[in-house]
Amino acid sequence: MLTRHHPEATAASGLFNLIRQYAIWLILITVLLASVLLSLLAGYPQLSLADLYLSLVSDTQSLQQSIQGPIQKPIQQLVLTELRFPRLIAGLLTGAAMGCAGFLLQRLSQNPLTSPSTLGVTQGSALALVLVFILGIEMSPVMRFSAALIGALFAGGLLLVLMLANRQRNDTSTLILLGALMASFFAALTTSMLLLEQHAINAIRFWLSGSLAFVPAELLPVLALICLSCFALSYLMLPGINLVTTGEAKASSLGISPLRVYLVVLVLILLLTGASVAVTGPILFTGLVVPHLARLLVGVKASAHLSASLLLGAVMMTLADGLTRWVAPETPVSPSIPMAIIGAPWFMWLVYQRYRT
Amino acid sequence: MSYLLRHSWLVALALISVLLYLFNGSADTLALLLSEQSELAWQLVMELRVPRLLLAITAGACLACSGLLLQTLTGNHLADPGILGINQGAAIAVLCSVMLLPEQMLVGQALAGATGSLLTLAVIGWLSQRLSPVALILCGIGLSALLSALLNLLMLSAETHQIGQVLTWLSGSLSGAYQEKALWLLAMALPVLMLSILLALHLKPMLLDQHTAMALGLESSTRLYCLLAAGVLSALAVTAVGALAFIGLLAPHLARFSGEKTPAALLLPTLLWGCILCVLADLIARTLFAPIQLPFGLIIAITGVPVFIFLLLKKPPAAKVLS
Repeated sequence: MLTRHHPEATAASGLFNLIRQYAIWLILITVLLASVLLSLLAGYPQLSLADLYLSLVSDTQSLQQSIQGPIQKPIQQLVLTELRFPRLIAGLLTGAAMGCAGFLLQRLSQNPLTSPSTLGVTQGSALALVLVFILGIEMSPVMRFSAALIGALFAGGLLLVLMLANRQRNDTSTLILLGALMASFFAALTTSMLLLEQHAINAIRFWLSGSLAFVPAELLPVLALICLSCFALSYLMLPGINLVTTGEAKASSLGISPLRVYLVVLVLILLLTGASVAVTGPILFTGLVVPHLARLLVGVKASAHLSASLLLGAVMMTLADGLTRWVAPETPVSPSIPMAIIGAPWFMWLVYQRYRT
Repeated sequence: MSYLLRHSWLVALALISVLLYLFNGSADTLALLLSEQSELAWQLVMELRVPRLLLAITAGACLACSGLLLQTLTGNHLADPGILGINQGAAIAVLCSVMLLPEQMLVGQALAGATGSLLTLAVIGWLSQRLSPVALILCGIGLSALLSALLNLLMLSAETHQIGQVLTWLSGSLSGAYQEKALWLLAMALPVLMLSILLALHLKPMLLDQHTAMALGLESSTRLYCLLAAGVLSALAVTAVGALAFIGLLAPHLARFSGEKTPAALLLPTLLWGCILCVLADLIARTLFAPIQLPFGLIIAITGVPVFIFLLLKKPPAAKVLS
């Protein structure tokens, strides 16, 4: 205890903390790069680093040569440019989107158990997409994203209405329970619809269990646009969120309208969830686990917490996708299976910690 | 006697739903029975509809009874073997046993299922000592999500042609019913159900909290046996129809509307409601979108969730906790 008051000791521990912070960011970025590499190389066929280097080099060369006529690209290169790169980008963006949505929800509700998938928003969005698919409407990218968004909006709105109808018992555990119930309700509806339209099952089964395997390349620009603008807006909304969660009266006295903050953040959450579901299908538990891990690593300061959530979301998604392809290159394992196997016990542990009597 | 009279309308409802079940469907068996082809119609009813009906009744009764026991023992009116993940535990074990030994007897499947459900139940029992009712349900939801993910993983290693079958079985389906299966399961379920009725007679003190119940003379062995019975019943139901949620929740609640309060008195209406719900749900699943047959578990989930939410919002779940 005495050493704590010693000036040199505090300076040393301050330096140590600084180094630790930088080290954590460094490790995060290294892990991200490693999982990017894994995700590019693993799968069927397994590629080597040399293939990756060659394709990167020849890509620039082929740009110069393309005037002279079409050139035969080796298969590894085609795999990389046509399959792995779009998949990687989709994984990075959707993972970060889920991390961001989970971060915003947990910050705004001040409840560590909320996330788009535990509240049923993800499942509602998936239901809307399946509905559109079964009705046989042409699946243009815009259609796809707007259907997912409308589903998310519907699910979120329904939950909000139920919570408002339940004014006398507004405890957080009821919110989680209602969310979980809505989730299983939407999932049951989705399964029934699929079983009724037998031809749709096979086309949609893998998507429905959450997969990065069938991401059409034309979705990526829209996805990138939505995700990146939402990330930027989230950073802009951080002061508002901080003020609103410390006290609505305080926030309004400082000239911030709490209602506006709530509305904007909710829209951001729905947009991010809808966009990721439209691309990968419902992947559960990422939005729940990522903000927790991020807080453990970098602490509660909002901007650092958000950045770490974004990074970790991207890491977890690409890592889960890459690892499953590395372990079983020929069977398509959905990344949501390892996510759930890690995420569900985590969820139970959080419940246990919070509500232990 | 007045007890039986009070519930006679439920018995009548059960009989009506059974009759509706037997004579509705893709073939109009009633008209066939009255016409010259009565032999064919008889065969149809006996070989297709009756086994299916028996399975539905067995599963309904098992799940309803298991739900009632769990609700009484955890002092939590939202408990249900499907929501707490016990059914998924049984389903994993059954699936494992089927994949390892494809040609085994039904008894073997039921035994494997019982092992799985009892293991899950041990976790739930441990948690119920430490968590508030709503938190226990939350933990159960997490547990069932985890077990479902493991199930998905298992299904990846299954043969491709089995997957559709497994998917249907998992969401609760009766389309694979045949006479032998129905009779075996009925034979296994009846003694356990009898036993639970005997046990439920002693459970009245559990309406108070656990310590008072013990002080009033409830033996801890009775509680243990009740938990075991609840686990075995859910395993039997899973072997019969797959992982099915909400019956164990809905049936006791519907039974409580009749005004009964003690577990023993609730048992008869609970069992009847379980049977009625399963039979009607399968009737709907069979006929609504004919010729496509939905798994009736989906019908139950779609109708069960709104009821659950209604119950949740109407009154808080009993504040009693096993401490």
